Amino acid sequence: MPERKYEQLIKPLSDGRIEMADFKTDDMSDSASFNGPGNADKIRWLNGRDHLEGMDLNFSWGFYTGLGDWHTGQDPHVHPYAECLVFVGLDSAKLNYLGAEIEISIGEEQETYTFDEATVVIIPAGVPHCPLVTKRMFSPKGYGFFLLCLDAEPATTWMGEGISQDMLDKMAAAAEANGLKLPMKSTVSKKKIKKNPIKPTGKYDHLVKPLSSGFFIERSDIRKTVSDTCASYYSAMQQRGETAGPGYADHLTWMFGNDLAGLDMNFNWGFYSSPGIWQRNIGTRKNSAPEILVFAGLNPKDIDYLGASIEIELGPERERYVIEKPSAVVIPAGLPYEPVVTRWVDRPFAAYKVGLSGMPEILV
Amino acid sequence: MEKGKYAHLVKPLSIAAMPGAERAFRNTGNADINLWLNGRDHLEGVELNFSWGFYTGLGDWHPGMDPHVHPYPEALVFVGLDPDNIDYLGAEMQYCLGKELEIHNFDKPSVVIAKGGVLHCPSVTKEVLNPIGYSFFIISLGAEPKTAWLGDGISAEAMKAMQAPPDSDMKLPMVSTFPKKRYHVDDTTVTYGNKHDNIVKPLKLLESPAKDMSPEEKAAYEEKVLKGEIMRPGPGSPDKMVWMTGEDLEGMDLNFTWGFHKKPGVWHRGPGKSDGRHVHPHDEVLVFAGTDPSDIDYLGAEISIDLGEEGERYVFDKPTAVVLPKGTVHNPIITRYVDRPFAFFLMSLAKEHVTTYV
Repeated sequence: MPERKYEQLIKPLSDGRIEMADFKTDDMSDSASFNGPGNADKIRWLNGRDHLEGMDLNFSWGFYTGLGDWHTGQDPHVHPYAECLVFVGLDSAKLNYLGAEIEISIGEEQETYTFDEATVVIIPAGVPHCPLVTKRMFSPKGYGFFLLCLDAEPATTWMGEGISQDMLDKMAAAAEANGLKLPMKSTVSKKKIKKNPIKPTGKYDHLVKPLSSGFFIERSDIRKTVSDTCASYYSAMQQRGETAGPGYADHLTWMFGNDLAGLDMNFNWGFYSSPGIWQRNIGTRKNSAPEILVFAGLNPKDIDYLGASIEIELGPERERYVIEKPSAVVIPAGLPYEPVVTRWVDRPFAAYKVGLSGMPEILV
Repeated sequence: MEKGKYAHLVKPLSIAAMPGAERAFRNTGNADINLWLNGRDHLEGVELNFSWGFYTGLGDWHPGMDPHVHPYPEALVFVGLDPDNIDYLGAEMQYCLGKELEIHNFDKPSVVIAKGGVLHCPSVTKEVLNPIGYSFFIISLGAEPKTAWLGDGISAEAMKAMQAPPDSDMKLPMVSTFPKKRYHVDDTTVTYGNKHDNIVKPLKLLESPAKDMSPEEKAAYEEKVLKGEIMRPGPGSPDKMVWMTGEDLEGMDLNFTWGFHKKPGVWHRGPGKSDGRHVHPHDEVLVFAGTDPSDIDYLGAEISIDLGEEGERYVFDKPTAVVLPKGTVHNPIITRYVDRPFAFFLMSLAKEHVTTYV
């Protein structure tokens, strides 16, 4: 096999394996290690610093079935960067289905918003948020969740009353003893916020968006009514002569910067079940901003199972990579890529593409 | 034309297009349009010439010219154009075989096997039942098409038109000769025996390797398939496929397939880590053909194939032949999209299809 120039851009999600138990020692309370009962059963978390070639992004993918607080006693918390928290269902026939009821507090006021459909919560840099609580679970297989954080290095300042610097130090030591480095740079705020959720006033309504507001493709066709930003993107697609191929999403939502409180980010999320090329008449393309393309399985029993074989071409050399495990493809700004072709599908899978610009700009 | 080390092996069928061909066989049963590629001019010297064409006309294919004979064996393959029914020909054919001028009739997809030197034809289309007609391809085991015409109805003018001018270097697509011994074909000279029954055969569908296995053997086989130890068809494979080997073809050094492809995806999964890449110890030609009789240059799909140890990728969306001299690493083949079901046939120049995955 000839030398592979872009191998480092293909990242198995298993590279971001996190087992919370590795950060705990027996003398720690159950609330330690950021792992409340509502938190992930299985999670993968990749970041720009360690995995994504320095990209200003860290992101997760996980499966969730538990009820309760995600970080008992530690919230609210705050990041120096903006992030999107994306709650998605695992029913590949219904994009709008979440299968759970979720409650999240936003702002120092702890306005608490509740939703039970697939939703993105946008958290601007410096805005305190959480507790995050899974109130009810309807889906027999749980739901999925991914974070999209606009920084290469995960960093959190915890403001809850149930966490101390001593606990963080112990967790770091436990991780080190297990040969690990805590991926998250955690600090404890001097200012503590007492847990006191209040009803929403509507101040943060614009930060809680159902994914249905960005529905773009439904049953393999462009939806008859789409958001203004989707309509704008679709118009650009048409001008480029692009059409969806048979391998593209059965159902897809696409949220752009204008939909995400003006963030320099756009992302799509979709379910895929058919082989074939994803975009026709596309040749190769390059974007002015970096992107990642994440292929994720939908089997909560095995987070490392994708259930499909997908190939992607990268670089002007059109080096070909075949992906059969959940993986992220890092696409630096200006790097030609595409086509993406699904070779076979044993089980429907999900994919999400994240671009670090409000609207993708295709370079000619 | 694509660039690359193996680009010379990827041949659009249109390289064999001849201006005016669509008018050549007016008022006969012969092709409305066909393309005929040969080893001498198109197929890198492979000992093969083959055709692909669409047919709707009634009557004799070569009025007055037949029977004829070739110095090489050939298989004449009659197929339908209904991608949902591979067993449907959509025509009624009459074929004349041997010096006995023995008449044979068939109305199912069939192959007629004519060994070198065996007289065959007239071929007469008696009826066309499918409103879009049917298709036919010749597989002839010689690099240069050569025919000795033995009918007694060929005019001197026709003979002259079928030969290169004296002292010319012109290479005609068919090298025609006109031996002195002639045959007259009419109701009084044809016969109705069974001597040549063995060389007119319905096309045979490929059956599952597990078909005749015991339940235990079948379970073991299926486990190997699931583990990826045995190649299994991918989503781009046809639901049904004809595969005939030398044993079915009276010992010809040929095995060929025929099928309709309707879905995108990879054609083969595995075995193991091979990604479907394989080689044969014999020459092979793969033909990707459209099924729209109104446009022989329309494939209705986009396909990629990887060639060579390097896995050089070639992508095409026109009817194409891929020439694979023995030992050429090839595959995976991936259908990227399908707008209209397309046809595929491969011709391997050996009795058995021997494959080594690499």
